[in-house]
Amino acid sequence: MSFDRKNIDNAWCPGCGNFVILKLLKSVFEELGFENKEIVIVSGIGQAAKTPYYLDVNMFCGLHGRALPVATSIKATNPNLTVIAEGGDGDMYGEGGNHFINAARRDIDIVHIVHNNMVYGLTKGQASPTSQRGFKTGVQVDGVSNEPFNPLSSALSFDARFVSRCSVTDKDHAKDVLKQAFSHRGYALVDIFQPCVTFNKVNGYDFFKENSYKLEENYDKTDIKEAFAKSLQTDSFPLGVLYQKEGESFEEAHHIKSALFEQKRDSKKLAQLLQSIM
Amino acid sequence: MKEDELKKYNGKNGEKAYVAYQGKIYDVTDSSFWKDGEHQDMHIAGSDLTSSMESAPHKEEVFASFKVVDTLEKSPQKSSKEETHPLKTRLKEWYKIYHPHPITVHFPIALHIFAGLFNVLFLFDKNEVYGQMVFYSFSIATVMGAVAMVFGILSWWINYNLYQGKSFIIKLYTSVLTLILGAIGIAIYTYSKSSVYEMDFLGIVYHLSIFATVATVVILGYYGGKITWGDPRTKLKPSPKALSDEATHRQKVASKLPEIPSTKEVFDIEPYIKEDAIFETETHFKEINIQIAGPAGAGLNALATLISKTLKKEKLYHFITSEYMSRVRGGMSTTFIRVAEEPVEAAKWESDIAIILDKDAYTHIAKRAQNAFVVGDSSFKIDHKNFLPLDVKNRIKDIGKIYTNSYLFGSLIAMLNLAFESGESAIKEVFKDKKLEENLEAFQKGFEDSESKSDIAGFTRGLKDNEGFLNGTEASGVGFISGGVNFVSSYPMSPSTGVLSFMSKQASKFGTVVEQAEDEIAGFNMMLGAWYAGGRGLTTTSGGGFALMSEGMSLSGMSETPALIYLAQRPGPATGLPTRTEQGDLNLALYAGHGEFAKALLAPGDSDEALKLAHLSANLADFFQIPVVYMSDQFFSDSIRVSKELDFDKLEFANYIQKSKSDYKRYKIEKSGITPRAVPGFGDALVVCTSDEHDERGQITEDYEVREAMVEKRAKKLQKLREFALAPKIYKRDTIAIIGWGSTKGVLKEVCNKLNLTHIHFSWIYPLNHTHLEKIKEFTKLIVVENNQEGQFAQLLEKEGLEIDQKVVSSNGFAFFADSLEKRLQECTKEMK
Ligand SMILES: Cc1ncc(C[n+]2csc(CCOP(=O)(O)OP(=O)(O)O)c2C)c(N)n1
Ligand code: SF4
Ligand SMILES: [Mg+2]
Repeated sequence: MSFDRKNIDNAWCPGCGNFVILKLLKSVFEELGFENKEIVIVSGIGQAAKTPYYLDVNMFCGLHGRALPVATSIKATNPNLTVIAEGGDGDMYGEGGNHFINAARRDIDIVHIVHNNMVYGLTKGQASPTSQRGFKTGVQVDGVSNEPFNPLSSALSFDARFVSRCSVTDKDHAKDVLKQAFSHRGYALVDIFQPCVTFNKVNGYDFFKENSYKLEENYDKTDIKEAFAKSLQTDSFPLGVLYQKEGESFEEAHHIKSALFEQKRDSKKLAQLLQSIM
Repeated sequence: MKEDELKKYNGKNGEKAYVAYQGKIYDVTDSSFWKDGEHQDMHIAGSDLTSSMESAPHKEEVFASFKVVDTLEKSPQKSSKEETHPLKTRLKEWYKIYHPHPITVHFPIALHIFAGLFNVLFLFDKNEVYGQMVFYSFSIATVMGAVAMVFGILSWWINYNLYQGKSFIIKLYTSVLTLILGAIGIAIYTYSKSSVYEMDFLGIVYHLSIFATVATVVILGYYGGKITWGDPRTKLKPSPKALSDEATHRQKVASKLPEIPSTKEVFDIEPYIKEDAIFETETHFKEINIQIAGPAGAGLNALATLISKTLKKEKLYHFITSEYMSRVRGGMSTTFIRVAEEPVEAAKWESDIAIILDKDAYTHIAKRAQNAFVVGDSSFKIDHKNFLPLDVKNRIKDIGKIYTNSYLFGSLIAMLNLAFESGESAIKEVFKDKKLEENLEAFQKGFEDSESKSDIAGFTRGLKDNEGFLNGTEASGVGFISGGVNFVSSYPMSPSTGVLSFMSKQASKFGTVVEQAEDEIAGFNMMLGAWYAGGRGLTTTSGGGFALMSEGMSLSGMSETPALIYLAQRPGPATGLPTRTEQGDLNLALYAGHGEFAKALLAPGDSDEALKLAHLSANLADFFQIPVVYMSDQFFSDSIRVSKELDFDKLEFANYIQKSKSDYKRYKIEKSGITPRAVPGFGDALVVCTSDEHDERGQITEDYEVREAMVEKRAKKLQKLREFALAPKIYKRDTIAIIGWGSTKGVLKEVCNKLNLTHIHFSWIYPLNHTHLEKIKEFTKLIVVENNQEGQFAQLLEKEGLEIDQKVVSSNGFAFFADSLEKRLQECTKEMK
């Protein structure tokens, strides 16, 4: 099965980390035996959010920051679909911050992929929530003074049951993390380090390679305390599944088993309802 | 209807004028082009014009401004006969290719005129050359005229079905006359050439025949032109005002679109406008107005429920509304209960009986209770001429203070002179397993302690078996479920939360997914996602929340994903008066969302409209793939009014989702602007939706030509919606018309009836249809009544070309009261009458 969308006009800069993520997703879909028709990618606006235009699957590219609520209801409306919410760090952690909190709490069975390039790419290089202190931009002329947003510790505090990070600088590992995310039933966060070669000259391929490490073989991903401790490490970023827990997803809790469009309308039941309240 | 039936609507003797075209029947009664059911002297109302259209000088866009009233059922034998006449079809083809008309007809006409002119010369100077020229031209013209006649008759058969209109008959006679004159002239010249020069009797006849043919061909030409191009006089008349430039332009665009079904066909909602229908309620009926005032938390609602149940049992029409403060405890609220012989749907400011639950309540209600009986505990020591003190505290000392309301309920039942048993059974129903004994005892004591203060026992009890009572929230909720809504995502906000709760309560029964969203933006976007994936989503909100949804509205417009919003208005700006009422968010809804895209706004005015429009709104969103805003307000949603049982089978439930084929394109440019909607996981194709400008596949593009095509595609939907609009209801009584929209229906219905004014009610708010507005121009004075300060609907009507003479507005947090509005309207129409 091919996941290449034909006749496309790719809008990414040569050398951008997004190309790696695109390729990773294609091979993950292939290796997991997915069908194009069963996948829906929901994205917002940004460079990362353009990914679904280049993948031959169903897509809903909506508003900046609003991919998660759309993804949530798509899964709730048709639980047979494999639903992904994908976008940039600004999209998902900035504009859509409230949805990040609540998608995790709601625990809907989707994979939440965030391309973390520590910058706003599409709008040409302003600070993003994950930009590091001191990062200079056309707006943050004296450098970023805010403490960078920590998506992993945040997700853990929102009670997310699957919290992970990987980097395009280690493809095999990233693929493995993504596969685990797709196999998890419930909300799964995958934060991916993605160098923006044009607007972030500080956090490039070398930076991510040099400032990250893979979680040890014997790391216990079910230990929430350990996960919190790892998530707070920022001198060198741990890569891998920091936390995973069994539980009940939104659709399971709401007993949603089939697609809503298969429902039939029942005039008799309606008449009874009307009579009972009139 | 059948063709035979259609014939009846010939526009004569006050009948309506209907014409059929391509299986649809249009109402052309009011068109200036169809006076007395005739059009250009050649088409008559009551007939099928499909075949005539091919030869008409205009195209089917002319039908765009008429309302479709039905579809035409062809009687099979007849149509097959028409369809299969092979010669006719062949000739028609031949006609289209060779256009024999100009050469066969224009040429002889010119020759006849030429002969006439030269004959004048000849008469001055009897030169033989002139004489011969005249004769030869005349003869050729005559022979060719005969040929022209053959073609003319053929064309009459092919294009006009030998229709015997006035123009055709005149043409027939004049051509025969021309031919005879020609034959006479030729005969005289041939057999008695000298007469031509000598001007004897035959000579005079010869010359007269030459001149007479000039006249006949002029007549022939005139009527021929009229058949092809229409009557120049009617043409010169200005087109109806409503067809502004934009509308005409859009009609041209519309002419390229395939027909979409009429409102009736799709939704089986009667284009429910009974024009000229008179509201049948009596102007004078007995009624009694009760107001109960007390602090929040004092059990006003429970009391209202008990009273409503009793009145229903007694088959008495009533209307209940309330005003309350945005507080959980304390403050002051009033419940208005109006009992009447007729189904009233508005409250009155002045009360007949005022029940006060504490001392402060009297201060709150004093202005509305000047002539009322005021009922309350004797300890309140109220200074009012009709204070009826009750010893409530002492009487229920042994049972408990919390039974005060049951006591007061008993007292009210006695004052209304209603049967003890009716009240008792209401108590039993409400307090089934909640201290029934105690409540009954308190009720009985209250009943014993009061005496009749009204003649309600003598009221006509009109409530029918299929009637009951619903508040606007319930009516809307049932309508949404009926319309297939199976996903609700909202953020709570008064006064919209009622519908959210209602949907939750019914969720397990109807398989609805209900989720409280983290904010309105999420609520809206979830609702969109549900539609995208094949569900029918709804989000409920009030003005402040709706403001946050603006960007989502625009996304719905661009991605062509249906959206359904229940917008319950309350007075703004900002937090405003959270628990009170206003129709102040019309402009917000009208202009919500950046960029240009189609949307529809509906606003129900009574239970029936609430049910049907809620149902319709879901279908509309699905069919047009646009956002539909269903506008309610606090007054509408909280008030309890009469309602009727509904046959839900009659409300057609149409699901417009299409199973996709592999070559499916989500934004394929279709003539109608509406691309069939596929959903992911159903069919063979991928469903690609986007908020960026896109090509047919849904890929981002900035190609200006594609952009133009997509802009046009989306614009067509607005035009289609305009045509689709439900007409306003016109209750015609007078040349002064009072216009209202949405929740003012009940109060205007009553007041206009009483003052004998025309009442025009809009429940389809936007986009408006110009043919409908044209009807309203017939009234000499237009007064718009609405529950806001700026007159937002009046402004919309003005923008659409109506001249509004006066606005009667109110924005103090209350809905209009029947008695005070009556005074205001009486005042402002006095000078107009
Ligand atoms: C409501 C709204 N605000 C702002 C924007 C402009 N905007 C588009 S993308 C973007 C940020 C992009 O950054 P990110 O999400 O990190 O994606 P990247 O381009 O870096 O992949 C902004 C601010 C918008 N499209 N919509
Ligand atoms: S701007 Fe940055 S993130 Fe966007 S495509 Fe270019 S390199 Fe990639
Ligand atoms: Mg970014």
